[in-house]
Amino acid sequence: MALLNVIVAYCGLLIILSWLLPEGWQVRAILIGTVIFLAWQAPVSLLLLGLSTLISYWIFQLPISAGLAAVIVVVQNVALLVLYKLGFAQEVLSPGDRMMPLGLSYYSFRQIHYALEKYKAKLDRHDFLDYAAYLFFLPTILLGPIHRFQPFLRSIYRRRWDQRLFSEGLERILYGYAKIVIIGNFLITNLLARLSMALEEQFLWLSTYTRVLVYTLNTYFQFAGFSDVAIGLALLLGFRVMENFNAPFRAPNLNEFWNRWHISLSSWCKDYVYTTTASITRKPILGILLTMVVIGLWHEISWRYLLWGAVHGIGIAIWHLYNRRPIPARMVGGPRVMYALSVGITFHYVLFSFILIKEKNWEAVGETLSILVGLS
Amino acid sequence: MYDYLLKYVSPKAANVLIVVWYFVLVFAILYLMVLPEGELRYVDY
Repeated sequence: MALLNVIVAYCGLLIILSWLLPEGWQVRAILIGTVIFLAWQAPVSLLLLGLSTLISYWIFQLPISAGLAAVIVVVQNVALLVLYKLGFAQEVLSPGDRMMPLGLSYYSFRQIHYALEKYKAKLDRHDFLDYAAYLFFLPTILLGPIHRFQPFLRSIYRRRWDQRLFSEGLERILYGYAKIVIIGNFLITNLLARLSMALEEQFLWLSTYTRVLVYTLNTYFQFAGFSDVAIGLALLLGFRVMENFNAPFRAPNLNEFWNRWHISLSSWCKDYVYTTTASITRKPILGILLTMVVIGLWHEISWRYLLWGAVHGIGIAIWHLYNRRPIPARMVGGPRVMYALSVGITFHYVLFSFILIKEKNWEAVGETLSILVGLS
Repeated sequence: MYDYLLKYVSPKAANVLIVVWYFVLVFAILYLMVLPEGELRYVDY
């Protein structure tokens, strides 16, 4: 049984329990339920994430400055993430087994967000249980989004049974499954991929283009589907977490694309990487490039993801430079045609950038690109 | 979806259509999940 189905089935029990228990126990039940789930499915992950949570919280209780505590927690989480992403930690702890702790990427960014907001003193009063419930929230711990602490804390105390919220949650889960199973797995990975293979002998360019299209669209529908299921499960538990996708392929420029694609990650990086870099260096373009490189490396620490992030960073930087110049009042074809053209260009920029992460090696990247630009 | 339907049809028809829509989706998902190409994959970054 796929992990997603296990999570959904387990959350079903948790949802019933969380609404039936006395009010004071409902959020605790969700936390305990998540801990039991991790102990059952991924005990090593529970041990690692649990220890990290306890240590971080303890650091914030120490009689040291808030700035120093935040630095220690940020370094601790970045180190943990980098060590696992590079595979060093696995070599030491369990050689041969390169499994990442479940949801570590999402968990680390949530921890860093908490540490930085705590340093800025922007968090309302809360206790360890609220903090642990935020980090160990089953719907989002494995699938994202990287939701924020403050709205989550408000939801803990304002959480009430709401029939509309519950039906909205059920609908989101249904649409999430539809995106994953019907659109992603069946229509794209199965039908469109078969079409691509059938075209390979006679129409190499079209086949290659369709292959890249399959990868890009499938990535979107799978990821958006998983996010929908996570948001839906959170709604059933009485929590509204942030959205993660908003029709990204309808974006008329790359900047807008990143306001619509993996919103929780891009807004996180905008808040903590871009703002910090731009305010320290007074060079917004450097901030954009660094932000996009961090987004790339968050997925995987490798040259190809670094380049993928840089390509997007350069695209956004060019758009910002172009956007400063006055646009001619009379455009060829009028605003609608210009808008459609912008959407098309943005989509193909994204599509071509996905070749960098789709192909297994640089040789394959070069081959695919040369076919698509008509060099072979 | 229900609000969208209400823009074009009466509330009664919208009730019927939404039930049919959900039924079709659930049936298609369950049917495709049985097939190997409909199998769920989990990508953990």
